[in-house]
Amino acid sequence: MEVMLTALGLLLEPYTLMVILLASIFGLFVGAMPGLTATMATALLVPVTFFMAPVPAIAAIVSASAMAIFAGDIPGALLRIPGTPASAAYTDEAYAMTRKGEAEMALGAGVTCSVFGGLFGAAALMYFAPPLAELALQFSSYEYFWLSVLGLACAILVSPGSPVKGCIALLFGVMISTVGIDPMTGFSRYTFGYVQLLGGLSLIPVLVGMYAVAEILRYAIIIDAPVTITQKKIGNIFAGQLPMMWKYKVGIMRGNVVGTLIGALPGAGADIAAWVSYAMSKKFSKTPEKFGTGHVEGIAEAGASNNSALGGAYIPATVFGIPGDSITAIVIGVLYMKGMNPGPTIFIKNPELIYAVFLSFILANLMMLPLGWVAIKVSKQVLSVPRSVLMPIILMFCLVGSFAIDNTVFAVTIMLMFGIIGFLMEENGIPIAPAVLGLVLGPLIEGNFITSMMKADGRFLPFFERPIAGVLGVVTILVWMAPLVLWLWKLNRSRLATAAARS
Amino acid sequence: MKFNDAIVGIVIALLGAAIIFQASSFPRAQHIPYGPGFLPTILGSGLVACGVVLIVAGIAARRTQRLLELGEWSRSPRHIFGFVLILACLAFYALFADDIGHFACSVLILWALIAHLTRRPWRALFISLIASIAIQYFFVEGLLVPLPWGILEPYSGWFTWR
Repeated sequence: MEVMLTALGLLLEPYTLMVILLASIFGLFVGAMPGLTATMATALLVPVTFFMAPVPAIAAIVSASAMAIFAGDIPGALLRIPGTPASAAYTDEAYAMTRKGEAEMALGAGVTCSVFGGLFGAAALMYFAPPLAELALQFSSYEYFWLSVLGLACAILVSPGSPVKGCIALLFGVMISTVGIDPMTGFSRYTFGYVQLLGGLSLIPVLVGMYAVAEILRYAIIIDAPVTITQKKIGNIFAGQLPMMWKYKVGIMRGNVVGTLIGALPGAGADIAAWVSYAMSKKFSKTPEKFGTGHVEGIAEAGASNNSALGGAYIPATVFGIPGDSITAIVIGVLYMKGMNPGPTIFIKNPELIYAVFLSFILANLMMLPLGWVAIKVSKQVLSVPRSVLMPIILMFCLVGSFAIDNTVFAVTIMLMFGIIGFLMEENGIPIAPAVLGLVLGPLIEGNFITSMMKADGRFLPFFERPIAGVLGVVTILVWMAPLVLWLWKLNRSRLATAAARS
Repeated sequence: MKFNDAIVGIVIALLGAAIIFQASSFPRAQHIPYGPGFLPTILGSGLVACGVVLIVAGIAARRTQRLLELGEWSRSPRHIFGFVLILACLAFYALFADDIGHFACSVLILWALIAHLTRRPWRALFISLIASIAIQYFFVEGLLVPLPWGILEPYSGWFTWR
């Protein structure tokens, strides 16, 4: 309890509160601009948080990302363009509601369910993280090795599209994490003689390149007519929200739970949570035929789900140092930069910091009610900011942000390279999130593997000898085998089907 | 810019092969058979395997998948120019920011991009100046990022309140 009060004190300092407010406004703006994602908001914030104390830095990221995920609903409902990928699942539904004259209900459900989902995710984080950390304290390099390999496996399993392409992204991500001096032998790998690469590729220029620069490149080649908001005036968005939430309470709770779980899975974040929850809502609905015609049920469930995923993602991130989504991958990088290694020891060494992170989730979600209301009120003005002016300025932010991490122009070269790589990856259906996960998990996997091997004198058996390590190992191997088994099963079934058709 | 899977596969497989080739020259660790080349070799092999799968898939789909699908923008010189301009601006910054300084680069890049995208060069000049000054103040004065001044070094005092 005392820790909680210390944490609250840290959070309620005027400076921190101001940072949270500014970060929230930034998050709302970025989230509401189509093409700018919550991950991009986080990546662009990092150079700024670089100069802050840990609590305001993490609180800024938490509030910006929470606001951005909600704000993605606004252009979805008004323009039929999702502001962030997390809103894509129910954009058509929200727009259909707007056309029926129910924009207030759609936007209001976005706010209230986001707040509810966000609070649920935060509560799950507060409830599950400390006991898990207690358990994780007993983990050795074997358990960490299996956990990180399991994390990679999940990233492929949940990545949309072809598993082979997910695998390529992952391998590529782990590969670029090996650039630089090998911590075990001191041998420099893949540096091509560049002194600047000896310390490895900095996470931020790589991320800013893959997420922001790639997006700006994509913007440059979009050919479409400018869209305008047809909605004249937006009335009271909170009217009728409580009865609506009560009516769909089961669905919203299901969205909360599913969102938190998917968030906690490494590699899957708010966007996948929203898709899964929207589909589930339709499946379990009493009126599935209304879906797609402007029905609030799916929006409520998926809107709660994508915001609870944010909190869920922090569970593995804070407890094991394994990111739950691409945003927490960045958060882990920030924590390392601040000299605080995420993992169970942080719960002992800096408990007030961890609790401040938890509380900042709650604070950010409560602030979402008034700020979200304002954002919706001024959405017409925000959405009319010309992107032809905004995108170049964001590019300049990327340049300065990358520079600021190491104070070298070399980072800009890295950013440019990864911008092109990220653009080509997305164009060819290779997802970016697994690559980011691989980049963060790579050193963990290699370090823990070599350490374990040294302890075990090069034998594999000790990897399974400890009880938790054994279970994790078996689960990991099963998860890695799953796509192969599924493929064989499908092959077998189609063979049976053709055989049946012939006879 | 969507390539046929076979082409993506060839690139990935070659990347994997190059990684394995490099890793084979890495020294061995002393006590255990897992040195600095161990993980890269596994990763490289994985990339080669995935690349081969994509090559096979791409050849199988050669009737429906073109070798290179460029999209509508490839027929619009304006959009191609915009795409190249962004890359050129970034390369320009990477090459010259140290010599001619951040501020000058910032004004030039912002002006070029905004003028191209909005087609209003004078307004773009005004916006790029305002935005560059704002970024300069925020990062250099506020966050103490030592952005290079370059040729504008003698005038750097104009921008500080310290």
